[in-house]
Amino acid sequence: MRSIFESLYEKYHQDIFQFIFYMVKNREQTEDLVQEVYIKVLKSYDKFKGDSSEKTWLFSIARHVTIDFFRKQERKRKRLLEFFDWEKKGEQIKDQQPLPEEIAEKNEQIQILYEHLDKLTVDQRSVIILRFIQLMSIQETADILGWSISKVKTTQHRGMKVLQDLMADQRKEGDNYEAK
Amino acid sequence: MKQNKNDRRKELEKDLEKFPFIQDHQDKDELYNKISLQMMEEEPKKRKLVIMPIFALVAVLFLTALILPPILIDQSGEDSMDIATESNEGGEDNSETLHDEQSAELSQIPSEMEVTERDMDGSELQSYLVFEKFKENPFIIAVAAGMNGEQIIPFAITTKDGQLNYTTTTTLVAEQAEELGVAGFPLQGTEINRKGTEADIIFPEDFQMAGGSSSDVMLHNSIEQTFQNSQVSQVNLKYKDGRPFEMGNFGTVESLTIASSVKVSYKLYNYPATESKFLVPIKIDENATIEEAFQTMIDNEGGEYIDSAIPAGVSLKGEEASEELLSVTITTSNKLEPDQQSITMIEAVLATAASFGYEHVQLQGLPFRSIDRYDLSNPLETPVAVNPLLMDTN
Repeated sequence: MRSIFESLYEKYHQDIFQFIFYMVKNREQTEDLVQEVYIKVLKSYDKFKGDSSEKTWLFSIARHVTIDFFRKQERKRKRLLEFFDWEKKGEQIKDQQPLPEEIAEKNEQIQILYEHLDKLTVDQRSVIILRFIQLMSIQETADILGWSISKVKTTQHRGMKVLQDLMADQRKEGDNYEAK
Repeated sequence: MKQNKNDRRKELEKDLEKFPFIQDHQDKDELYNKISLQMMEEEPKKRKLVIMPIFALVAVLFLTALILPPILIDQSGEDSMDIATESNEGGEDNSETLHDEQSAELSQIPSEMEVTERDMDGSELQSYLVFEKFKENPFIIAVAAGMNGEQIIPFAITTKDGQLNYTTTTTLVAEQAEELGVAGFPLQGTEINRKGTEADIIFPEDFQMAGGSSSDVMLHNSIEQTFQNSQVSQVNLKYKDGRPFEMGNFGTVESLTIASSVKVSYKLYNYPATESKFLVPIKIDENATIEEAFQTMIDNEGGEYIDSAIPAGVSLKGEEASEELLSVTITTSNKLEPDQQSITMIEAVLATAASFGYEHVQLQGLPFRSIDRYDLSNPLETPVAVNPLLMDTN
């Protein structure tokens, strides 16, 4: 098991970590989810048939782990919303993470874009991260997501449109502010 | 204009490509150790449990407490209805709050406790589920070990007055383990304190575990199950005097990570000596599909005292209608009636679907439109907990 772990770690660890991080935007949570990915992978490695590439398989598991996490979070959030009073609700809902150091060092444009990733659906976010941050091809992205190429293109287009509109709104706000 | 749009798109792509590389700073060996520990903990769960850490408690201390399983039942028929309603409908997952309140003491110490077995009168069906919409009473999750020594059974314990303290409650409930038909409550006597996404379990200084890895695994699974639907992701373990916790064959275990999701198939725990029946989660492969989960529900495996909650001849087919909604088609070679057998099957399906993250289940193929509280023409809500028990300290 150790040798499989070593091999996967060397080849894909940092990429998987980065993918999950940009999905969940929390380092500690990413560490936990990465562990879950390895456990799943190591437990089912002997069943891996090689129908897809090892990398695609690994990313596909990482994505499922992340989606499971979002589902759980959503359920918990809803329970909390029903339970806590409004005063506490604010604290519970407001789970905005501070900007990670790596992003804080970048220009404002990147920082705003990073914040706007939250406005995308999970599917759009997956595609945008895989395509433009992880720099994967459309085919690789389709394989990971188990989608057709056309679905990847459509989702990518819609996600980019959302980001473009948000950035445009941001620019307008900036212009108005300067005009005052 | 179009050119402008294209330029903006290109600019956006370039900005995305400028996103920094996010590096994991964890030590590789440490990561591997964490992973292998978790995998080891999951593997030996089929071994027999030899002993459970049950402490002798003086029963005389307790006066008038009743623990009532879900549909159950007090002295009068009317009370009994109320209790059933509260138990099922009042059991919202307020474990977060309760965990925060765990240092509080009960204002009154009951000095006797007995369990009244459920009393099916034929007109009322027993429910095994707790839904989030019923939030009258908070509850805590107390986990029992089955008599088979293999499975753990979570209970959602609530009281009429909402006064719950983890240590006291598990101690009171553990006194009734035999009547409930379970081997014991592995975390009995411990104190739990929550701080955000972390929790501390403080073991009594004389806490003893049975030898053998099955006991270790049972304790680990009990901890995991206790925090499964909370926001806790890490549990720190120590003795009351501050020593780090010794978890049998695992050695010193200072903390455990709680997985954010665990897929399970629900079956029926059926201990014949007490006729106790409770839903029991059977952990399945994390990559399992809902179809595989259903298959596990249907098969007759699972160990001693574990039965399928699905009647013979029934098959289940699940299809994801959306991220939150699962459509389940039930086909059967025998006629199903709106009876206890059917409601048990429906609730086991709902609980299993919940572990896959679904919030609602649309059932199809049943020859009746409603059963007990469930209107089958609409999607049914999935539960937040199973096996409600009402502790009545009056």
